[in-house]
Amino acid sequence: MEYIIGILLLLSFVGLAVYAVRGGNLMMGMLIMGIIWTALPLIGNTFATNPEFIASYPGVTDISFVDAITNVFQSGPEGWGSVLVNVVFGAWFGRVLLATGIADALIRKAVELGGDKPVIICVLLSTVTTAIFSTLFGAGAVVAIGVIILPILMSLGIPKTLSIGSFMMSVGAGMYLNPVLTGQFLAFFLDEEGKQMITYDDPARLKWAAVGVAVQLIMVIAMCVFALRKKKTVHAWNASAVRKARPGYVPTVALIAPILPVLLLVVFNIPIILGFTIGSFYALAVCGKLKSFRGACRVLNKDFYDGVVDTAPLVGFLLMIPMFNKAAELCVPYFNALLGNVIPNNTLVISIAFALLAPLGLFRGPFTLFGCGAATLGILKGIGFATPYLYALMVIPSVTMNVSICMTQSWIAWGVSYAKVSTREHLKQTLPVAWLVCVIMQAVTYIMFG
Amino acid sequence: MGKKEKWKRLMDAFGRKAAPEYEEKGYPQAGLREMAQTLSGTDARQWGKYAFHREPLEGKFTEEQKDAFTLRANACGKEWAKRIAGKYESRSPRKIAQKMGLKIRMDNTSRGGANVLFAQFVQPDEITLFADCIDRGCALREESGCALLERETLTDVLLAHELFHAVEERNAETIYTRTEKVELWRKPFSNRSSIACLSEIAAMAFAGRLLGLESSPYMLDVLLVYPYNKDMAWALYDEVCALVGK
Repeated sequence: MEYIIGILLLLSFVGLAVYAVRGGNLMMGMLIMGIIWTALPLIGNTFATNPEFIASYPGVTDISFVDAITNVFQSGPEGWGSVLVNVVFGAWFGRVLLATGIADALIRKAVELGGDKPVIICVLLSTVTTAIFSTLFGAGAVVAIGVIILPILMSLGIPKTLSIGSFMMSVGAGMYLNPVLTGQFLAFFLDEEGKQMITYDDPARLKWAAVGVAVQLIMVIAMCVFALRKKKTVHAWNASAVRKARPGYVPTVALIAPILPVLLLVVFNIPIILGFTIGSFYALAVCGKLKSFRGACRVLNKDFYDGVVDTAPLVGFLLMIPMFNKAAELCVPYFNALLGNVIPNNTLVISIAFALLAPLGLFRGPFTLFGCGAATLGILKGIGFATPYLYALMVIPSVTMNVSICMTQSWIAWGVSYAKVSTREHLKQTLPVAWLVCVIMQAVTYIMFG
Repeated sequence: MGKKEKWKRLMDAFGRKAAPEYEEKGYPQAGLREMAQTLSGTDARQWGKYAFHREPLEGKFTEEQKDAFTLRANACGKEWAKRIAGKYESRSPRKIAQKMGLKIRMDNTSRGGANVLFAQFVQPDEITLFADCIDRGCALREESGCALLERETLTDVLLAHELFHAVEERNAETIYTRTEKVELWRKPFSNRSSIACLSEIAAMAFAGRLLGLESSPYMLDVLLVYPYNKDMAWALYDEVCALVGK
């Protein structure tokens, strides 16, 4: 019986992969998978006869129907509440950086240092973009920064594929450290009581994330230097959306605001929400936006509203993920029965496989947590790998393949359309670099956690 | 401010009046003919303000410096139009391009969206004209009353503009748009940079002089966007009007 259920679970996994690759709505996909992966093990539990199998998983194979559906559909999303709060505060902070003009000022400063030297400009803008997106999150923020940076890169004759590739991969580099995105990944690693098994401020995880930022940023810079080696300048006559007027005076001291929350967390152990709040008020105060109480209230309301809107499309999907995660826990015995002897219980083999097959993180494939990788994680969890290792293993393709270069990511689709490049051209420019980042980071992961 | 007023303000801050307004700024919905007329009356110095508004190094210059750069870039474009027309004994951008050994390519894919592409020059010798943009622009000829939107004229203008960039690349050591530099770093370090928008200003002047146009091709920035995205065209028109004080 356990093998039949195992095969049916695996078939549903393949079904999710096909659904995700074909661009199906992932919120609905996760809900349906949550239902299927709850129903199948419950049926299996009812008809399982092998006493050894039943005895091996106390609390799972003998779980009652009511407990199972409560765990999956109630406790699961409830447990994600703490992550959601972090997402909202992070999004607010992002909007403050945009509204005060700090992000814009950082970019202008970088451009005024680089001038007409494409390599210097690419290096500076990539670094600034990575710094900004180490805290900023959301499609709205990427578009808001993109409409400033992309015309600058293109006006300097930098090829469009390189402009869009370097910008999006720099955004992705920052995401390794981004507390909002990290919070979403951490939601996949909750224990039975809904508590996080790995936290943002875990020193080893932070160290690993910092290495991730550095590796991806260095590879983006190398890509720019290599691509601009044989300079083939493009002069395009185009018209783009209105160039917004400077949003006001931004003093130099304001420019540290983007990294302030992470800095406060890492150096002074200040919790991230307080960090976002301090960062936001610091930015607003030094930029002169808190001169009257009424004005401060207006700015606070507006930025909070915009920030929440930025993340709203993701929230629905992310509230379904805990259901799926909880359901996956019920499936562990069946996956183990079927795949326990097939999938190697060896971190080196798994790391090599994830490095070589990293492009499976594209198009919502089985290696991205924003696709059917959630199911892959369920299977790997069942085998019993350590949480920090599994976290790093899955986050690499999710950030570098999915969030940084994949066309199914909303802001990448926007950027590719904005720059008028084809998907093929975009992937030709970015995939080899992203793949190399994945290989390096999987090696780092194996050394640190394997 | 009296106590009552202060109290009222405090109450407002917590009340509905403090709620932000979320409406996006609307732009005046000018008619196409009206926009074409206004834009055709915009002079080279005013278009220079528009060009500098989009210049990445804009913050480095005073208004006087911008005007002086604009003047010189326009003179450069006109001077090179005269030189090239004389050298190749023609005022036809197509013939000049052929004599210069440039390849001209028509791209039929639509290039609309938030960034409308009209034409491009890719080093060393390829000019691409985007046919969809030309077709849509020509369709507005009657409605706008703008002579620049005649099919032949529009094609020539786009070609002439890109031709300047080819000329610029081949004379990078001597041409004004490349030799004018600004120091960006503090001593003892140095990073002398050219100013990107001067190249665009000169390319417009080049096209204008070569083809004997009465108004600046810069107006196409608004008119060619109109068939793709009216809101964006109105926004651009509003930007130009605000910059030149119309």
